[in-house]
Amino acid sequence: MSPLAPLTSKEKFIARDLSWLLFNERVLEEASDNANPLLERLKFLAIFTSNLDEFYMVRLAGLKRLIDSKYSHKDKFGYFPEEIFAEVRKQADVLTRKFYEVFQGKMKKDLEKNRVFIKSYAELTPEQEKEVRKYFESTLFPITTPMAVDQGHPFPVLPSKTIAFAVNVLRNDKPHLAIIPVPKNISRFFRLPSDRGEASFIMVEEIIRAHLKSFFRGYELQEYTLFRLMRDSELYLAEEFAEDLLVAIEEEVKRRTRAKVVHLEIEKSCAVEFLDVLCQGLQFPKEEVVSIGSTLDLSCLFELARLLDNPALLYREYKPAKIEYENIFERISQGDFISHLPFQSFYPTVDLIHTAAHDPNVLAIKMTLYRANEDSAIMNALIEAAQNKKQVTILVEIKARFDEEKNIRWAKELEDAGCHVIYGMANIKIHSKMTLIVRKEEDRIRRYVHLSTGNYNEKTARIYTDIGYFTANDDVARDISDVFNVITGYSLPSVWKRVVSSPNDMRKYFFDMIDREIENQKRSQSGLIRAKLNSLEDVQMIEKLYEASNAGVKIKLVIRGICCLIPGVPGLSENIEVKSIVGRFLEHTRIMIFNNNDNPRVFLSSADWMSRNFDSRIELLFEIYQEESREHIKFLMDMCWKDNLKSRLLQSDRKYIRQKDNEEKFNFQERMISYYGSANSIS
Amino acid sequence: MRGAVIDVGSNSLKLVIGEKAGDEIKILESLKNVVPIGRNTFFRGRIAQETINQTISILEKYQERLKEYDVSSVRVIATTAVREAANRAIFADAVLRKTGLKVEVLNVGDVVYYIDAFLTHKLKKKYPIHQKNLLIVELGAGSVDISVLENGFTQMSVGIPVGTLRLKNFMNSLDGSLQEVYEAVEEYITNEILYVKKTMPHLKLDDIIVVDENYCSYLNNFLPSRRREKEFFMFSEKESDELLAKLTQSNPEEVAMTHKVPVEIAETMAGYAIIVNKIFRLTKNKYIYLLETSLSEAVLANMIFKLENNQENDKTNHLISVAQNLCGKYKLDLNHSRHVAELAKSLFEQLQDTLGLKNENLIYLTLAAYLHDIGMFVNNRTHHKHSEYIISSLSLFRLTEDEMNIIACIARYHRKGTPALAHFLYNTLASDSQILVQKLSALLRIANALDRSHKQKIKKIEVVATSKGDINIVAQSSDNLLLERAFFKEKKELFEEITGNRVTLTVKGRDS
Repeated sequence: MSPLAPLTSKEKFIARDLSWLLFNERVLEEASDNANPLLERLKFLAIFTSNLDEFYMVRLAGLKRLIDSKYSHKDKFGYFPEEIFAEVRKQADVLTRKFYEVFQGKMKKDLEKNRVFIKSYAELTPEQEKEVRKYFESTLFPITTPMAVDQGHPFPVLPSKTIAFAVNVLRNDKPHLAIIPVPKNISRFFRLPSDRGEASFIMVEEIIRAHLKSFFRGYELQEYTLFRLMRDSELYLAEEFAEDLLVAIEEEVKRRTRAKVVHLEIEKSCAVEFLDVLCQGLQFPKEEVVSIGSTLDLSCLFELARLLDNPALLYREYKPAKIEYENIFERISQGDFISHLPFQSFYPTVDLIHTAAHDPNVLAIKMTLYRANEDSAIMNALIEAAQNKKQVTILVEIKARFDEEKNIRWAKELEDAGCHVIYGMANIKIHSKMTLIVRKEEDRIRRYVHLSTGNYNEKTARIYTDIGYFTANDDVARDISDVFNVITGYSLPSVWKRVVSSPNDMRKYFFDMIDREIENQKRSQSGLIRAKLNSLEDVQMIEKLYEASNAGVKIKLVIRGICCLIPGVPGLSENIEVKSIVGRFLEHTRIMIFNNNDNPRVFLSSADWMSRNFDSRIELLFEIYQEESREHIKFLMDMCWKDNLKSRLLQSDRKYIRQKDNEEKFNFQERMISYYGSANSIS
Repeated sequence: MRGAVIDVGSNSLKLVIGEKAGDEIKILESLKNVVPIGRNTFFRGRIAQETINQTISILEKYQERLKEYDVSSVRVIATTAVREAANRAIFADAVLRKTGLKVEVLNVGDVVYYIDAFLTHKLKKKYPIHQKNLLIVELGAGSVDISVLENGFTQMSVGIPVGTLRLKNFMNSLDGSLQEVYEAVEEYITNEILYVKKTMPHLKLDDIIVVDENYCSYLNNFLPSRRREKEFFMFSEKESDELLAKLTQSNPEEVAMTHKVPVEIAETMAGYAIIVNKIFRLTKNKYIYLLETSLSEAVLANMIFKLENNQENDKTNHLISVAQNLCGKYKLDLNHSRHVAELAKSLFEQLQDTLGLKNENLIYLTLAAYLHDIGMFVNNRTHHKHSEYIISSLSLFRLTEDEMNIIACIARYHRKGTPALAHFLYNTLASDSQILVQKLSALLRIANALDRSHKQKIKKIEVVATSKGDINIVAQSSDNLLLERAFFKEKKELFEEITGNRVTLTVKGRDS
């Protein structure tokens, strides 16, 4: 069994960033899959772009920092920073090329088939050109600001994700450089007047390009190019020294505008000398510039899909199934239950908070908020609760990346309403999603708890798959109450009966569970582990799974995103299977089932199996005891494993392949919509 | 009904919120925060301002929790660490001003009272606590509080300043090998614990119950054969030896690693094991009982169930029991003491309205009556003065320091000079307490005079108000009361001075 020489890290693992790029490739595949409705494919292109943007601003930025600091140690996957950076750059460029192939080729063709056109200026009809000129003069020109770059004016500070023109103009034979950012607060698409049944658009930057001269009267326009930059998004906080975390983060978010540029895209047509000027101004290495032969930044395709708004070109609509009950507290008192989003309604969660806010017997509400949506019903209910003199304690994790500013805004609003708001903890993110409600019932205290694999966000509740768990079990309530006390610094942790948390002992808890499966395998050949996660990246965990596999334990993993484990390698992981589902909804549930000698134990968690989840976040793992819910979750896992339409299997050669076509077609997510009995297609 | 107890302990502040659930208490929340009050008090004598502020800010947080559970009755209790701090009054005052919470500083007697009441309730069927002779040990960070109960009545309570935290620091201060240090500590503890045996040589114990909230739950880590049990369980001498051996073999860091216990537990657990081990010296049994509970839970139970020990005037009985024990210890004439106490009680009851006395004042008089001659132990001459300081240095079951001073003064004025502001202790009393001392010592002087012969000649007394407004004490006796009469005449003066009434003594029985 054991190989002659021990495997190196590179042989045992897929590097995290490379695995992530493979995930984004699967997203791109969805964009070119004809089985998906056209506008949904357009959205997949947009998702691909914004995913990749985030990847540049977070991961690539991190690698650059390591390289800059002359750090030269191998990472846990066996790569030196320069090495992985080069590999990532290479793969990202390949992916970007593939992306534009899809966009320029198949996508444009299919859009045109549906009489949707994205025109260049040259393609405009005289009537359209007239409209465009009018729009430029009335709207674009006044809000567009060219900025001169010379000795008196240093290169302007452009925020991350800015698209801008760099323009070289001559006056009296003297060259001048100017920067014109494309305005951000308007739509990238300008709708052109067109025939009925046709939708034509022109990109805003194309309008500006055609009118560049208007900005430089008395100058001679030389060369110009469009470019786009991204900056490092990391916040630099000396958290333990920050007296007020809120203020510290606010300031740091402002400072982000000046962070190091980590990615620069330019148009292919850009002249080499001109590129030098630009790179110097942005302090970016020329050799890393990505040149694009098409439209920059297509995350705006979301907008196009919205503008077109044609139900025939979207997924069939459905109504999330209702969970029937009269009063949420009574329903929970009758017994634990789960809600499976987005197939079932998010309503009970919102209702729980809303009812609590207005129930005279409710004394206190405690809740964690990680990423909340704008104009959230939950948020409003919390504000009402505080106004109704409930004790409302909210843990806002303001460090939730890219949501920092939004979270600061919410947090202040809650605080003004009289909620007790706690802004996370230094050096650790609160990623667990939990709610505790204290209610007085006939002068006895009864506590209601909601735990979830996903955030309290009504918008993502329609796009992410998650499971929420409602219970009034007092042991759970006591634990959760204690978790809140620990996080809010009110108490030292005590021994918990029903929940396991990171960063304390979650990894170890899983290891113990896995050890038990190994034991069971030895004794009765019954070792089986099933898990559904977003990411598997923790190498300790992967090694443990390899150990279990070598002991004969069967391991079936459904991992949507990053998976650094290599399945099916003889002598390493031959008992492990990994599949990824990328489909209509973002798979987000975290489920773990340990066979436990054919007496399965079912867990839900807010945590993935990533090092950050185990070591630097507060996460929860909780077991589902209630028979019905447990059986249902097992059923969900069976269904998930049956999927062959949206699943890709990870092979021992590190490639994802579509499942073979010889079986009956099965789409897990669509099946769930109909299973919950609400495929009310609205025609 | 919901209640909460905040325990201001040596190492930490704790909040427990609980409510009645049938016969049990359901704990809704329990919070714990580390505050180094003990370290302040035990090593610097006072609680640092920083610690006071820290305590207050935690208490403020606790108050938010109280609101969340709509708790109206809260008690804040403090033990050794606050009790022994020189600035305890300032501490309590700062807490009161900033939070509105009143800190009750419990003494050893209070501790045993709550634990006893709680045990009675909790062990109802399992263990008949009031039919046994028991030694109850409460193991704290600051002190080890020991009480002896005979059929439910306290015989004595003593606080020995060798709590686990103190021991840890003591050990750190010793300059020797690990083995030498542990030997020294064992010698030290043995001596302290055996004090109980020395004071009560005839002590016959059925069982020993050790109350401990911190260490019980870790016993399994050291004694793998031991299964996790209920909160009340037997612990054998053999197990104790094994535990001690394991804890003293290696240093705390190693202990923490090997046995997977938190470092702060490992650091103090050796002290715990030594104390528990030495407690076996007090009994012939091969086992003791361990009870995993906290004082705060006991007080909480007391609040929620309004636990009174089985007798109505339990506190009085406990105190009388303690007083009788002291009479034995100080070789007093118990018959005389008891008789004076009975006569004084009779006078008190019949003159209560005339003197404007409250029911709760009686216990002071009773205790002073039992203990008035305690100073004889030192010297017959001016023994009343010896009585005063001896009593004021005692700590009796559930009485405060102020109350002890009142009793000391009453006892002092059982003979010779009457209360005067020139007398130091008397002078320290609040003015209403001074009046009380005057009234009660006036009664004690008469009662004591009526048993001057120490022969308990008077069976019964009756107080009769005459038509002229005088007070006539009618004593039933068939003995010669010449001696008593003589002393009555002398000792009644204070009473007459206070009331303005003339007092006479009539004897019935001998002649009629």
